Parts: sequence; structure tokens; C-alpha cells
Amino acid sequence: MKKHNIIVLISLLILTVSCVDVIDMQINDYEPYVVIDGEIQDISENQEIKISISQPYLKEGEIWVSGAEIELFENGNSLGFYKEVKAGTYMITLVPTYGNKYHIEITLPELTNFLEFSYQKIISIPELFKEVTPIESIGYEFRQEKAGVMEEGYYVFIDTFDPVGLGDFYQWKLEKNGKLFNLPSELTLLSDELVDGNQLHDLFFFERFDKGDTVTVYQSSLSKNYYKFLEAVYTLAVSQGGLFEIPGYNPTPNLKAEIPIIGYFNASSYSKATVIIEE
Amino acid sequence: MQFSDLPFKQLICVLCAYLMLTGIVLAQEEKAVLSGYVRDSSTGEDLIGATIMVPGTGIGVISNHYGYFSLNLNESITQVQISFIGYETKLVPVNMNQDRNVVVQLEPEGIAMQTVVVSAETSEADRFQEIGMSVERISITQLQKMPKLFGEVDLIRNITLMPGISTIGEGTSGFNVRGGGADENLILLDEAPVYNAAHVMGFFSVFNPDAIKDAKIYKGGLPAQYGGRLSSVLDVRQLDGNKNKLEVYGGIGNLSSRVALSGPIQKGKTSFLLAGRRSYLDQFARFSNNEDTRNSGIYFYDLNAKINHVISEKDKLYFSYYLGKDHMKLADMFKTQWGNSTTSFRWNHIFNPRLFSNLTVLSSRYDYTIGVYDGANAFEWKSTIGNLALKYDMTFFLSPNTTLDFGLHAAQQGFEPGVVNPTGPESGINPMQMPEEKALESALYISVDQKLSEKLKVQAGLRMADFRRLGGTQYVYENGIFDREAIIDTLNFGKWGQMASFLRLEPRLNLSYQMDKNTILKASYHHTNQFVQLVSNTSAPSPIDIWKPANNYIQPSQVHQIALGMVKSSASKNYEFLVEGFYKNYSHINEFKNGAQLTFNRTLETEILEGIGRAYGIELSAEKKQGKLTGRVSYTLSKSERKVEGINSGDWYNANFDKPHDLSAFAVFELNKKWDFSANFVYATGRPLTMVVGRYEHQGRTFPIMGDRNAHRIPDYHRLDISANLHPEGKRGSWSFGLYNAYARRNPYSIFFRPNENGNGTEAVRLSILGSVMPSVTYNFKF
Repeated sequence: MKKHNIIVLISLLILTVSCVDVIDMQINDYEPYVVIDGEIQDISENQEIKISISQPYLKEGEIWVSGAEIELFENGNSLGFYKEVKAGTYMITLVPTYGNKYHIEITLPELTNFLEFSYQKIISIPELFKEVTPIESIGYEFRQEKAGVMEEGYYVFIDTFDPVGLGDFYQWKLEKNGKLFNLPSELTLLSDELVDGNQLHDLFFFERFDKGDTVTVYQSSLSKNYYKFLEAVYTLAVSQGGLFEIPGYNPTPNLKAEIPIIGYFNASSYSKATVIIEE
Repeated sequence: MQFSDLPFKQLICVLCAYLMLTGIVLAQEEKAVLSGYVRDSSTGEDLIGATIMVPGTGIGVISNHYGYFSLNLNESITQVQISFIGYETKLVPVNMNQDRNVVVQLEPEGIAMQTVVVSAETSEADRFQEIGMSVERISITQLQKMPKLFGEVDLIRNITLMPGISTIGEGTSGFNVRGGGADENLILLDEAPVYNAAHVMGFFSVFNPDAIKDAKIYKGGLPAQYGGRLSSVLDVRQLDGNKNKLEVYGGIGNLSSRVALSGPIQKGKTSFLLAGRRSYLDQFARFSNNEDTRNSGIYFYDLNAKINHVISEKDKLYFSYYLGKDHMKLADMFKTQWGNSTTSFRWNHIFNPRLFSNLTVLSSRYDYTIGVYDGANAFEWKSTIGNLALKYDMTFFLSPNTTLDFGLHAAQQGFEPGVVNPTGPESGINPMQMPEEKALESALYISVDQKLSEKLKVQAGLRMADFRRLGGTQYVYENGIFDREAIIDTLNFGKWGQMASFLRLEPRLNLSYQMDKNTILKASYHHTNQFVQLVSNTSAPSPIDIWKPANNYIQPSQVHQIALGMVKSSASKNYEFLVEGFYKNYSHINEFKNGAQLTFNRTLETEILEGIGRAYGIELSAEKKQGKLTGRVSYTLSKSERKVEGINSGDWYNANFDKPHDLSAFAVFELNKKWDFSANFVYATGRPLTMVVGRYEHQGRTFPIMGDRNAHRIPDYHRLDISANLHPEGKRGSWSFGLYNAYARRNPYSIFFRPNENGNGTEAVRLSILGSVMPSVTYNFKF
């Protein structure tokens, strides 16, 4: 368990007298960044990358980057170019191989509103595509309301294991009826530092479900750098709004460029299990 | 200008020469000695800081931490005047044809009005006698009348009303002195260091008001007796216990209650104090129908104990003990506890009326345990810091104008950063233990307090501090680059093997010049080193932060501070105005890399960024001291900044606790013998905030993009507290009514940004620790 999870629990008890309210706030600060959101995965052979420009925090909508040139490499050898399937979304077909490293090289198009980004090159640091251990079983149980931190309802757990040897990192994504739990604070991550080589029995998720829900759990492998990237966003999300917040900062992307850039191009293998909550 | 440009070595040489010369010249003076103790006539408590003056002259001395004083006087002197705030001043006739030993009993002020004239006469003399610049004494009597949060007065909450002292916000442990971090304060309870002075995240402090006699905070010009922290010393002394009669007192409040028992064991020889306190929010939960609620809650308790024994006129023994714990429990899922314990044993010995000595042996410990008791994650995590120390301090009263303090301190420190063990058979957690770290911190000091003329006083001191890091593992990095991948060798040191050592000289200086009858000019300088630092990257320290001793890679942090000031009293002595300016220059300040892993990290040096800092400001205060209405208004304008390669492109940025404007005011109104009222008001600039400069989507989630660290601020903080105390006539008890945050201001503790609940938009959110007024009622009793 991370120190910040502990701190969140301590804060939770203290904050029983506190209050949180949404405020109307003018945020005048805006610094545009190029955003890369891409992954090599083994759930589908369609590999996708999205390129956009970051927006002011409270503004809705996206600024998609159309017309970029993206080349995919496997162990340093070119596999070809992505095709743009809709504005800002690019696709290539590939069944990745365990143990191989993947990276991309991007050339941005001319961007009339962001001239400083035009024709800039972005190269990702290669990511190892590593096999993830399987979810061995999935189950659920009904739990009573618990001390104000856990609502009454159904909770899902899985059985899995960590292979012997340090350096395995995991992410679990949960889907309820096809919809991902997508708040940064709902990221579920684990480093094998404290559980190396162990059976992980009844690994329990804090999301609550109702009768009739279809729940899918995705267990994926992460590189150490990608784990640190996600952990940074998670830590920031859970520490903000607590007593022990850390000064905000940006996670380190695995992308090199001479312009402000954020995001990640990762390679993760997946194991998935689905359960329907019944009587 | 950097302090390193100053002739630091020359300053130390001049100081050494001065200290030696003082000893030689003044040892030759021969006069009769008036020595003894100043005590409270009703309880027999020794009074710390009472003034003993020869009327009509500038000759005088202040009673020390044990109520002892010594004054060399000519035969022509026939009387001395003894005074102390809150007590009737007394004139004592003396016959100085030979050495005299006296015990002066001062009567507590019965009716405030009667003593107005007397205290006014003495206040100016007191100020000049008590040379220390940037020192504030906290009167426990005054403290008792201040507004109460949760039904209790609190020492630390009240010192934050003083100029130059602030806090990050409600619900945070610790306080910040003159732009310094919360770990830069040396907090002593009967000489033993207290590592975390907060209960329930700072809503209460560890100092039970029923057990405290005296507290003094030094914000600058630290006397040479103190070392090891950069910004301040809070020296708190426990009551000795009533020497004359047995008494029981305490208070019953809506959130916590206190009880204390104090009295003589052997009249005139031995006395004791036993005080306990407990909050009981958790006890209300016991009435719940829900089992989990019954099993959840948060509470703290503490226990103070003291026994004193007079062996002879020359020898006294003191034994003090403190234990305090905070407990939190969340059903059967999560449990944590943390707390301090301190024990000190002291022996006062008077070699001769001029030479007073005190030997202290103390131990101090802070620990925490965290337990998670749920399935695959079940574990228990423990961490401890311990301190075993010996101090030998001597005071030599050389002449009426000169006092010499010198001594030796040695402390063995032990750090157990963390031990993790699985709990329960289903746990998937492996046991893990961080290596224990040890250190030896010792110091020799000498300090001269001397009146050079009727108008000029000087306190000059030198502290030689030695720190040795013992035992443990040191990694060797290729080309000195702190990266785990660059480790090329590992050096293991035996339990007492010396890994690193630091020898530092710390000059201290205080000057005081009496310009005219009502005006005193003061100046001070101090240089200190901090060898043990709190490892924390949160804006407020958390109870589960660890302390890290310096090693070859993590240098001790250092500060130089200069301050200049003036104290001016009105002709009637009823008003006092104070202005002080300070400048602090920090080096070897530790910040942490973004995303640093601070727990269970054997190579902490790979996560540290070293930098420099500066803090400067001006403090103003106006105080009305006597009459039915008393009070003080303080305002501080200051800046605290840091410069660290790797943060904000290496530019200066605001420290987490930088609060440029800080205004606090309090007033106490004594309507009559039955009722008194008090109020305090605080206004401060909002603390620094790191602002979002954009957002982006990544794998279906919305993440923020953060701008420069601490470049913005949260809205300003202000709050009013009021309280009323009722003392029914002829009754032993009194009532205290309080309203904290009286106009229910929703002060933001932080502003943060998040995707909204349904995950399809973003919002700015304000967190307030207290969103409404907090009423409290306490019944205080005394038998």
C-alpha cells in the first residue's frame, strides 16, 4: 500500500468536520501542450493513437491534430505508418510480440493556431511489451456499509499472482456495463515491491456495483516508467483536496521533443475477466 | 549579499577572545552574594523569569529555569525588589555584609487593579534584563483567558498569534517561524525534545494547559544553550506540583476533559503533579446501532507526571514524564496510532552561591503504527525515532553585570524508518525492514551575558556542534550521480562505525541598548545547523513522515539570521510597541524530486534536490498591558522563498508556507470579578498554490497539466474567535464558553481541480477544514 493511500485514510477521518464545495473560478492560465495518447495492446489488433492540443482546464471539447505522420517501430525496425481514421485518431494493425520493444516517431503537420508546434518531431522511448499474469478467477460479494467509507453493495475481487523477481507493475481497469471507471483517483496500480512472487488472493476493488451489473476487470502489465507516470497522476489526484497535499507537478512522458509535450505511448498486455452480479 | 561573504571566521575569533577575557577580568571581583529562589506563595512553585533588581539602579538578574538567582552586591545595598508578571512586587531588605541565601515568596495578584502601578514600574526593567531579542514569553495566566477551540486553550495555537509565527492552516501539525519549515522548530518539554507537538492534526497540541508552568519561544538570536534546529526554540516547562497543599483541578468539556492532581508528598521536600487528558469523540460512536461506527473513531490522550525532591539547600531532583497518543480506527479495516513519550531526570546542584549546575538525563521517543486488516493488503507498518541524551549546564554568576553559561550536551539518536509485516494468513504482503540508522549529536557551548554599561548589554555565545552518523549502509555512485542505476559499490558500517561526521561552530549574539527610559534597541545574529530533517513532500507535515539524519550525501541544512528591532513603551508603561526586521539565509535545504518515493527508500539521496532559501520580513506589534481591557495587535510582512535546481527552472519560488501578510489581534476584557471576555482575529494571505494550466485526455481519463510550483495563492484566510469565562462567586468552579470561527467563514484550506463526478467535465473545488462555527462549553474546577 502506498504512503498516500494511508494519508488519504487519515485525512478521511479528520475531514469529517470539513466541507468541499465546487466554486466558480476564473482560470486565466493556459499553456498549450501537444498531447500523445497511444498504446500497443493485445486486446484488439487495431492499435490506436490520438494526438491533440491541451485545452484550458475548465474548457470543454478537444483540439484534434489532423494530418500528422506517425511511424511505428518494433525493435528499431519500421512497421509502417498509422492511418488517420478520424480527426486526430490514427490506426495501424498489429499483433504485438512478447519481449519486443515498440516506439513511434511523429511529425506534426502545419498548425496555424499553434505555429510553434508546426512540423515538430516527437519520438517515444521504446517500451517493452511484457506478458501479464492471468486473472485466475473473479468473484463478488455483498458488503454492508462500512464506517462511512464503503457503501452497501456488491464488490468485486479477483485472484491472480505475481511472478518471482522484482520489477512487475500492474494496472487494473474496471468497467461497469461497458463504461470505464475513469476518474484519475480510480486508477488502481501495484508495484510488486512488497508482494514479489506471491499469490494475490481476493484482490479487492473499492468500486461498488448493483445487482444486474456486468463487470469487466482488465489486468495489464506496465513498464516501470509508465507505472511512475500513472502513479504521479494518481498521487496528485488523491492528495489534492486532502490535508497532506503535495505541490502539483506533471508526470514524465516517454516522449522526446523540443516543444511542450505530455502523454505517453505505452505497451501493455492484458488479461480480462467478466462477471455478472446476480442473486 | 551572501552571508558566506561575511567574515565568519573573524567573528568566531573575536567571540572566543571576548569570552576568555570576560572570564579572566571578572573572576577577580569580590562581593557578597545574594542568592536563592523566587516562589509562588500559594503553591510553592518556583517562578521562572522573575526579576530581582536593586531599586534605582540598573543592577539586576532574572531567575533561571529553576527559579534560582544569584546577585553579587556591595555592602551599601539594603534592599532588592522582586517582581514577576501576575504577582505582587515585593521589596526585600538585605544586609550584604556577608553572603545571603533567601527564598522570596510572591503573592499572586488578587485584584488586577491594585497591582497596575507596581507592574508598570517594573516592566521596563524586566525588558532590559531579559536581553534576548525575538523572545516571547507565554504567560499561562493570559493563555487561560484566550478564546478556546474545542473547550481548551492551546499553547501552540496561541503562539501563532505572535508576530512572525504562522501556520499553514487549520488541521495541520506544526507552526512556521519567520519563513521556516515546521521541522525547524526545536520543541522541548522539560528539556526533552518533542518530535510532533500535535494531537488530531493540530486541533490540539501535546501541551496540556493544566500541566504547564512556563513557555518561551525564541524566534531569533538563539542562545548558545540551544542547537540542532534552524528557526526557533519553544522551551516548555511543566509545573512542579503544589508544595503546600493537595489540589485537584481540571475541566469537563464537550469534546475532551482534563484532570490534574498536585500536592506535597513530604511537606517542603517532595511534591508531585499528575495530569491527564482525553478526547472522547470516539465514545459518542459507542451509542451507534452500527457495529462499524461503534468500532471507528479518533481520539487522543496524554499523561503528564512530575516528582520533585529537595535533598538539601544545594541539591534538588526532578523527574518528569510525558506520554501522549493519537488513535484512529476505521471499523476493522484500518487502524493507526502515533505519539510521543519523554522522560527527563534532572539534578540541580549549587556548588556555591555563584555557581549553579543542572544535570539532565533524558529520553524521548516518537513512533507510529499503521495497520490495514483487509484481505490481500493486510499489513502493519511501524516506525520509531528515539533520543537518549545527557546535558550538563552550568551558570556562573560572575558579577552583578556578568553571567556565564556553559555546558556539554550529548545525544544518541536512533531511527527506525520502517518495518512492515503481513497480518493474517491471506495477506500477500512480504515482510520488509528498513535498516536502522544511528547518530551521535554532541555540543559544547559557552555564553556570556554582560552589561557593558548602564545602557548596553551583550549576550555573546559560541556553540560547537558535532554530529556523527553511525552504522548503516552507504551506496557509492559512479561519477557522484545519484541514480540507482549508477550504484557501483556498497559500504557497510558496523553498529557504531562512523559513516559521516560534521563539526560546526555556531556563533550567537544579542545586543540590547537602552536609548532612553522608554526605548530599547536590539540586534541579534545566530547561525545554526540542523543535522536531522523531516522527510516530507506534503505542504503540511503528516504524522507518518520520517526523520532523516544527515550523511555524506544529505548535508545538514544551515541558516544565518540577523534581526534588528526596537521596543518602545509609553510614558505610562501601559502600552508597548515593537518593531523587528529579520533576514534569514538558508543553505543545503532539501526538496524532493517530483514523484519522489520517500518511504521504504534505501537510497533517499536519489530523490533529493538540494537548494538554498531566504526569508525576510518586518514584524510590528502594539500591546496594551494593564487595565480592564488588555490585548495585542501584531502584523508581519514577510517573504519566504527557495531556489532549487530542478524546480521552476531553478528560479526563486514561494515556499509552501509563505504568507506575506499576517495580522493577528487579541483582546481580553475583564468586566468584573465574575465575567471576562476575549476575542481574537486573524487575517493572513492565502498560502501558495500550484495552478492548473490545462487538461488532457489519456486512455479515457482527464488529467490536469500543472503550471509553475506555488506561483498562485488560495484566497485569504480570516477568522474571529470569541469566548467568555464565568467565575461564579463563592464557587470553586468556572465556566468557559467559546465560539471558534464565530462568523462561520469557510476558509479554504486548498483549491484543487478535478473531473466532475460523472467524468465528463472538469471543476474547481474548495476544501475547508472548518466550514462553520465551532461552539464549546467547558466547566473548570479546582478543589
